[in-house]
Amino acid sequence: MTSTSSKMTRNQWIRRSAIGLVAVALLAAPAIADDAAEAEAIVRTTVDQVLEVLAIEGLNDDQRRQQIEKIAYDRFDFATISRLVLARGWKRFSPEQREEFVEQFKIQLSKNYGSRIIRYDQERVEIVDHRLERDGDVTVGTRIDGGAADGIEVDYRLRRKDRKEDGPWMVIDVIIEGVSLVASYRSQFAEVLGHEDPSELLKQLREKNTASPT
Amino acid sequence: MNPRGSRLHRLGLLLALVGFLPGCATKGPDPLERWNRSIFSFNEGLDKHLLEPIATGWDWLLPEVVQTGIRNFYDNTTMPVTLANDILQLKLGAAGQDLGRIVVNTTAGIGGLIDVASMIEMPANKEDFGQTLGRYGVPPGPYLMVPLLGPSTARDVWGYPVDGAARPLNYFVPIWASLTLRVVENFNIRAYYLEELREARESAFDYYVFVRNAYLQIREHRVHDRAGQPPELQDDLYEMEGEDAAGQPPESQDDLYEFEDD
Repeated sequence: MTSTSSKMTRNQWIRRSAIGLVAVALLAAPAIADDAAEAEAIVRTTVDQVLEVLAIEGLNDDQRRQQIEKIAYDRFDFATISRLVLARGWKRFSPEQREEFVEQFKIQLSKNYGSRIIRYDQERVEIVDHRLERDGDVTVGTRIDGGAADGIEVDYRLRRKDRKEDGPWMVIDVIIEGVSLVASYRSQFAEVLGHEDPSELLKQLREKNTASPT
Repeated sequence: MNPRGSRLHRLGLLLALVGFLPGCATKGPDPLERWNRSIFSFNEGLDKHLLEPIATGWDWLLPEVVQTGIRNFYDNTTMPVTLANDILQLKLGAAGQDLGRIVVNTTAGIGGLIDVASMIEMPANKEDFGQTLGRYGVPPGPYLMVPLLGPSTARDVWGYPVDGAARPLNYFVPIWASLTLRVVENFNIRAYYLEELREARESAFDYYVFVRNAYLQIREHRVHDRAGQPPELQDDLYEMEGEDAAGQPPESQDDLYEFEDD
């Protein structure tokens, strides 16, 4: 008899906790949706700001790039991006070297991507979807519509600053047609750091940054 | 000369050449790095001294509309390759669309010179035999740099003979004509990417690694039909400590026994 009664309580317990779980899920769902919507809104705003700059007539390339830099610098988390591209190599950098790397890598990205963006001046950008990643990041998918880059898919991966619950969403990777910026630089830096010191990588970075603009 | 015989001969040679590769023990994505790097520098030399200068002249000489026409014509001749692989992957909707493209562009587009289909919202799909194999679970295997033809993998390299067989043009014109078309398209497409490639070369920290990484990422992306990065490639990409990043050379473990300062 005891076994039956304990079975019943177990069933009840299961039922109750199931209801509880559903309730929790229902409560939590809007929060997760809000998260993703917030990240998506940030991408939308940032992209629109950049497109606005591209549409201004009478700016030269340098002025355009500076304005885009100003927008991007608020939205990209260069410290996190730097740690991701250096991966385990990060540990070999001294605090001063790390600081310099973050600064130089920021310049490198601006130089490399900024010069490409300003070439596209007649595009529209539509947000295609967003995806919640397992680690809490959100990936926002966009597609370029019209112009020379028509149909190109650009995904932005965002993470809350310092992974704090109320931290602002910052871009930590740009994935163009499946090619991740972080993965691309990580593989190259791993190669360089495979046979060189951090100081040598920093030297190469500085050289590329000061080379004549392409 | 019997063109079909020579094609089969080429096919046999290629298969013999790569047949052993999937069986190789794989350490990281590039166990053939030494061979690959030497072929890569051979291809690069060829590009710098032959392809790029000709493409530069090409770009200067031919108006954009002619270059676009050549590209459209060539793309239309290779569309049956995509169609065949749509069908092999049972993507029947895409197959219908791509068949429609071929019909529209070959007729309204004057033999393929004008990409009418894209103008009426019939964008091209892009499928090849490497993607078909990937779709059915065949892993890319070792990265493989092919002389003259560029980056590939032990899986994707099968596309050369198999997709070649799916080009109807090969059956209707003599082999020299279809080879000429490919060479022409090579200069043409190279002219299209003059600036992009120059920038990529200049900005890369290791151009070989840059190309390898980009190629492998793009192929994974295409196999999975743009559904984000597959877990194998993503690995620990977005983890801060990145302890076991795939593809890192063993030398980078030399910090293994060092004290961490944070």
